[in-house]
Amino acid sequence: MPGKVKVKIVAGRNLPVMDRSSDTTDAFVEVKFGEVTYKTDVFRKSLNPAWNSEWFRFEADDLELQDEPLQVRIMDYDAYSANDAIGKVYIDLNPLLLPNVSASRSSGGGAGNDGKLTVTTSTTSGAGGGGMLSGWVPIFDTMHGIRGEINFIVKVELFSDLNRFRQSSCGVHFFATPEVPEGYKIQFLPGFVEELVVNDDPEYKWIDKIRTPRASNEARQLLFMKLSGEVRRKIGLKALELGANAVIGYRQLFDLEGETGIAVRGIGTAVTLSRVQLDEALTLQMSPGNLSQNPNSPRGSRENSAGKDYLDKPGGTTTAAAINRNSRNNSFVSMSDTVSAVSSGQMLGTGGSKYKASSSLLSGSVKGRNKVFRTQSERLNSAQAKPEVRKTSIKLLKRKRLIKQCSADEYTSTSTPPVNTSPPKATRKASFKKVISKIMPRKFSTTATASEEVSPVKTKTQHDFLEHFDKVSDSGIVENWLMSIDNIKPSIGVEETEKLLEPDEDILPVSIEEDLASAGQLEDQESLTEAKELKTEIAITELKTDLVINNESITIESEEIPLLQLQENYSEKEIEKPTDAKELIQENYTKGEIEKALDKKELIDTSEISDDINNPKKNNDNTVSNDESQDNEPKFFARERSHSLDSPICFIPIVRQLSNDSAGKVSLSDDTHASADECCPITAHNTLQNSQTHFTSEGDQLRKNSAIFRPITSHETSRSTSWISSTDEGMYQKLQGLEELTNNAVEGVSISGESGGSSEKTPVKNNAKSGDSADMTEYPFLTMTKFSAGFLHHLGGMVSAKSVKLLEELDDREDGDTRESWWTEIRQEVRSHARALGCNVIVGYQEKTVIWEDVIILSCAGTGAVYNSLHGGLGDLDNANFGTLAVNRSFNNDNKAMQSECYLCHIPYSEGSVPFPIKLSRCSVCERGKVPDILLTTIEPPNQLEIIGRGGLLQARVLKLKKDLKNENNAREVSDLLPFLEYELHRQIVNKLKMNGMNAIFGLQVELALSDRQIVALATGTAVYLAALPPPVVPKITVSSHLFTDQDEIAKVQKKLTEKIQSNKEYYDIVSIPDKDEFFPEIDEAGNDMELSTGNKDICVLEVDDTEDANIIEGLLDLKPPEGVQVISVKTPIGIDSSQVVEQCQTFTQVAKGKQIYTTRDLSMAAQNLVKSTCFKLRRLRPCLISSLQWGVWLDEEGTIHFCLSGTAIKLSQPKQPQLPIELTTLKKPSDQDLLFNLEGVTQELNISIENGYDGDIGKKGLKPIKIPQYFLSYSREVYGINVTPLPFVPGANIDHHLGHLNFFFIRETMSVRETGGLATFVQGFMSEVLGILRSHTHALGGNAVTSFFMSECMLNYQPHKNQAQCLLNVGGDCVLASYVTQTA
Amino acid sequence: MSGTLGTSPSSFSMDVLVSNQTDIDWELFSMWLDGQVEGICVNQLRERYKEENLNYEDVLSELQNNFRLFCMLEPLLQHPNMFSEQLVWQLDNKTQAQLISRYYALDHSVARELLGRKLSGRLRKDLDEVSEKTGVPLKSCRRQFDNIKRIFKAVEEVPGKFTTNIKSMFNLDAQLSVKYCVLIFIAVHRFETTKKKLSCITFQDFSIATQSIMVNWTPGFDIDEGGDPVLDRDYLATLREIKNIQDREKDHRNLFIQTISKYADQRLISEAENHFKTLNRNILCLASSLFHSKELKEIFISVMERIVEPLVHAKFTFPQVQIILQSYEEILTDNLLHLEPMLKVHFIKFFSTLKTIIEIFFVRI
Repeated sequence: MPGKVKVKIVAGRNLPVMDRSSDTTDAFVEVKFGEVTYKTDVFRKSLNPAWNSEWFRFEADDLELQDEPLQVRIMDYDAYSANDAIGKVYIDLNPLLLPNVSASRSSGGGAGNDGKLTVTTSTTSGAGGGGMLSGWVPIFDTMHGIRGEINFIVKVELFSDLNRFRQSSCGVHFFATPEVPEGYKIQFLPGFVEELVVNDDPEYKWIDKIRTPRASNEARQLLFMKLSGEVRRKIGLKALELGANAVIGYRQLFDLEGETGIAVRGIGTAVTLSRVQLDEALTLQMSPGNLSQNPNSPRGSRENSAGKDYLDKPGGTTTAAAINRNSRNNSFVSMSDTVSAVSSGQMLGTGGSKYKASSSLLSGSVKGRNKVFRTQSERLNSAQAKPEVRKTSIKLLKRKRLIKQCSADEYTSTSTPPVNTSPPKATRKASFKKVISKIMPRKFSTTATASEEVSPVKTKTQHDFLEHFDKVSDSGIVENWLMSIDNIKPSIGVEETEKLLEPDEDILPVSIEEDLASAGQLEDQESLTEAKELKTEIAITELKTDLVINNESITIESEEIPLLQLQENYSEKEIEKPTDAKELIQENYTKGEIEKALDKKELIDTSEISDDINNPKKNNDNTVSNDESQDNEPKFFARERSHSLDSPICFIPIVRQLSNDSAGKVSLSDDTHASADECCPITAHNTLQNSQTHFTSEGDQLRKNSAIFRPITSHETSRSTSWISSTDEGMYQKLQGLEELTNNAVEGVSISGESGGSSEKTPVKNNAKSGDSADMTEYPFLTMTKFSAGFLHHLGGMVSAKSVKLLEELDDREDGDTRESWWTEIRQEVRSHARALGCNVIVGYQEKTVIWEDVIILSCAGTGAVYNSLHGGLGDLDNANFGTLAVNRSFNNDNKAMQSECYLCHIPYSEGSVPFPIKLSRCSVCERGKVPDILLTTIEPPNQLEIIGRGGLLQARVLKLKKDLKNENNAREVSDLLPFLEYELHRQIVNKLKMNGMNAIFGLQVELALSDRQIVALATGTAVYLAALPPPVVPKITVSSHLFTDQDEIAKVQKKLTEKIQSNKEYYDIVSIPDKDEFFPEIDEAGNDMELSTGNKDICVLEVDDTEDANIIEGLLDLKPPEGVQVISVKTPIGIDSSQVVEQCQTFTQVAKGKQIYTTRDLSMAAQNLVKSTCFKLRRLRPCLISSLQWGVWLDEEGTIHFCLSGTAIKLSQPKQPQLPIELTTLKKPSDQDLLFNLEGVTQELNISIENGYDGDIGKKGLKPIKIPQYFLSYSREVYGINVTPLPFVPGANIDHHLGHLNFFFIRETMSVRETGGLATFVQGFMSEVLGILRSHTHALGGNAVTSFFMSECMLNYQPHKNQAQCLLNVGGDCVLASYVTQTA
Repeated sequence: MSGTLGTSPSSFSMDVLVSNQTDIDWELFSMWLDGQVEGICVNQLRERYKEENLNYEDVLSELQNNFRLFCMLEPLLQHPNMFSEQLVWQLDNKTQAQLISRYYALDHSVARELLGRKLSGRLRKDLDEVSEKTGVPLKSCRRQFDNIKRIFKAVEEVPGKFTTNIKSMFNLDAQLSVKYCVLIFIAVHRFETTKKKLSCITFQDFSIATQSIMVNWTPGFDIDEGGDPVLDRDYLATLREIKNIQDREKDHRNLFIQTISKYADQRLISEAENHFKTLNRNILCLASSLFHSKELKEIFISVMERIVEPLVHAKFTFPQVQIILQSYEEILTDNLLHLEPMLKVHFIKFFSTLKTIIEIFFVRI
């Protein structure tokens, strides 16, 4: 019962006349929350009633508070007949559940030390809640639109909820903003969160036949609001479990499937945010990126606190802290450290009991780090541990409880008030620790001397094990066990290094023992009880077998254990799922494989461990040396690298995958496997070593895998580890999809395997503690589109996957699973694409659906990238290292961001391993790295990249006719067509890019539309010229057939083409760039480049076979926006002089219904016309920048095309000064290591330097730092009304507070379209009303702007013959309070 | 930079743009107010943005987009109070005010036509005649008619002054509300303004005249507590006593000649002297008969027939008339006739208004 809602209805105004005879209304209000309804008195005969009601109180669970909207219904009292509804107001209470802004601010200001997060603690303690919403809000009716306004006050009081098992996630802050919200910084980035909820659509229920349209619409609206709340709540829970306190880049989508119901999906990026303090920002700036200072950086605040803990503890000496620092705050290091430390602790030879302690209390173990580092062998160990760590993280996602535990651990260890640690967690922890202790002894006995105590324990443990497995395969406990077990492994490895450690021993024991004392014993008991509670029967024998295996492996090498565990993991997972005959077989197979693999590994290990570094791959890479040169870490890295490469661990999963593939998933998506296949030809040296002959069938896969690893290693070792983990995860997923039977042996294996998985968890905890962004989840997807400098290392390019499915009526419960599995499948696919590109993360990730009757196309897309898990402070290091020093250093004011970081463009994959032909050349900035000829991405242009000239909208459009088929046939037809569609789309993009003289696209989005007869695709992006990439090749016209021999014609076309390109270049301000007539890639060491170039040739050559083809050229000549208008689809202003002042911001949504079209040409015309018409409509804003131009397209029953275009136009003053060559690079916000965003102080400096006119004065006078907005200054201090913008920032303003995420779903219907003025009026009115409602809610929440605004799901049914129309709109954004900053401020 | 698109299949059957800030294109707004034919508007716009090479359809869609917006704003404009409270259209105060004042703008020619006529449904139907006569588009005429009628209805029974009521109920600026005041005042009191003889008198003339009446002949409010229109009955009743002045016509004439000789040459003096008798009689008669509502209603025509026309016939020039009237007034202000103070004040109030009317009318004839 953690929440109380208080509502007071104050007054109404401008109500409609409900009583015709007296021209008045007798209005009263019903306030409903959940099942409770209150009513006000009837206010007679007034259109402006003043109820001034008492406070209505509702008491509710926070779960309810999150899911249910508060419903306010305004009624007209009628004595003789039923009361008439006037309209309703739905109030989403979620923004009110966020901790109080002002409170958080004050606390944040005070606690600069630990950088307390505004949201985190209050999330769980919840005491901070208590927002208020009050003001005038329009009353909306689905049949009449807005009918007057109502004034009310809503207050929410939240009580603290310490229940660990709660279902709610109050206080998790949601942002639609796909980047770090202004004024915040990221402390921890767990990654992708998603949720899907399925329900029947009330519109299709039988009752809809007898109820009024209004009732039906309201039922839908309410349901959608609830589902939306539910999805958000669940995602919030996931985020909490990942240790995050916010979700950014949150997107929610409604799939209206029709008969089969609706699916509400949400995706986002879980992050831990904390508010940026001014002083922090300053310090940051003062000491940009010095390694030594990194620990002090706000980002590392968590880490710091952890570090402090060390200091505080008796065992931890100051040296520990120091080392901590030296070893930069990168999470990886710390993780590995911990693991090794744990192991070392074990080595020290304290009994099994000590083990428990070490595993449980990571912080304690971490202390031992220093020692570990010293010995090489130890490093090795840690490296080995890494892969496991990765895995753990993956698992974390799935099993959230574990994560919770992790967080709990963190809390305890960091000695921050452990709000989260509730009894249940503790017990769990305890349980696994215990288990570990039991198991560990056994192993030890085999390897070394076994203590007598162990044996009795064993039996017990086994029992426990069994129980756990059977019942709760999923339960966190099992995993915990596993974790503990894992910890053991490293320790074994450490044995070798025992001696080395010894000098430091004294320190370690202390800490461990402490831990023991505090936690160990209590937990022991608890765990026992727990285990019993979860009664399960697993054969003891199995356990034994598994033990045996372990022992073997142990004796051989520490590495084996991880392997085993991995394998076992997989099998275990399979067990979890129902099984299939096929799978059974596979299972057995796998078992065999495992054994083999073990053998293998043993061999390899023995041989390799001695000299891991000898691997040819490593040698190939210069990077190793680079790394080393950079700092202390490198060596460490190298080590890790070699390990990850060498270790068979990675391959086992692969094997699994193979089997899965062979099983033959039947998916309608065609293109899925293509890429994978393409990868095959790439062979890695490693592969041979790792993969044994008996894996022949899997060879390809293995190779592929290895190929993936290779590039990674070359660039960053840390990444490779993450990769491994992700691969594993992927396998795991697939396995989940397949169902398998298990036999005993397998089970046994699985146990140990699980342990392997769990082992990784411990590190994860550490990870969280260290506050680094390293942890990537099973899906390394980020919905963010903008990152801080140094976070991303390379951009691989756009990856996408599509899948066609048939919607069938399924029973409700299964339905959700089906959808979920569809998405799982496609996510895996896109992930594998990214991997093929050598990328370890997908950024700018998005998911979309298109539904036509019972065919649904799922698509997801993103940009493969390599992210720097060492992001902690490496950004600048890398910069130096890569030697990509910026050309545009002119504004070098200590701001690293100013430097062009061209390495982003460098390919993350090795040339030989790319699954597609690509032309590579030397980076034109640093002349070292290799870059592709074009770069397609879905993200915002990173600030670090140097862009020449200005960008422009680029759109490829394709229309394909299809057969009118039904059901499966239709689905097949669609899926058959998709590849062609994509091919043409791609070709068009590339050609147009060249026509525009550009070489990269950002913010690329593909919209699909489907109807009976057509399928349409629009790919929209912003073309730019990246300095790092080679200039585009001028397309050549060739004639391939002899039939078309009109040479004049050809010459004419070619001439036209050249002229056009030239004019385009002028337009985009990139004339200065020399164009190469024909582009010959430099021949590099890798000999295959030649071949690649020929393969790529067709892209820059246009074939003209007849006059019709000649028209293609026509199609490439898109209209340019008129003078004074620049159109881009990304949100970052490109090529705008920042001295221009924002005079007005105008956000618009345009809906256009065209005619039936049958050709790509018509489509193209329509789209161009639309842009033109938009520019014309916005003519009064010129000169302006139309940015964030988003496209929607759909086809209706008649095959008529509809477009939905939205964006924002920023009216700018005329540029003040002769334009400095300020491009994006100078506009970018200062990015300090962890701050994606401008901190006030820093920004100011930046701006001063840019606009040395007026702003410089401020600086000289030494006025106190004024916040200056990111990109622009405002024209006036007061901007009227609520500024709604799709941008993540408010142009001309600083965002002071984020007040919550708004998300509304509205339905409007009319039975008299003609009378209301036609369809256009209907739509225009509705959209305006919805905007008005959004604004009024924003205002009621105390905000004055909405950022990241969206208006989507614009479903429009129009039946002219019935004079009826219906429209559905989903709108939302982030409610913020912004303050405008004027030029003269 | 832009290429050409032929008349393409790519035009849209529906093309709607909604923006966060409701941005009014005043040019289009006036086109809409005037109800201009779409085709003409489109061509005008295309002409203006020639260099952009716009399709007819594109411009049309923009036009319609705006016109739809205006149509949706219209109901709110008709209740400007609601308009300022509404939350659907985000308009800053300046724009709001401008929208209102433009929407309520009056064409004087139209106002003149509607002046003094009963605002009936039949008149509305006959607005095309008005439109024809004035050259103002019919739609605009209708809007003006409706505006007047709406304001009339709203104000007609509300106690107080028209100007303030109109201002507060319709958020009109002072200038505009005065115009409506005049219209309503004349309508409420059914002043005769439509006679042919008055056809040369413009709306502005009537406006000035009426304002003078409202200032001088009313007790400071236009509608009394009972909701009835007021001209100061008591005041008009006291004017009856003015008739007595006629008895002292000789004195009066002498005083007049005496006064006027300060300003005029001999010729004018003698002319004036010749006409003084009629003039004086008519003035006094008019004043004393205003008490009768019929006389009151016909005040304008009476002034025209009985005072202005004779002056015109006498071939006085406007300066001469001014001198005559001024002299006449001076007698009163200096109280050369030794009237009792109250009567003097009333007479002066009466005459200053009358003088205004006479002067205005004289100019027009």
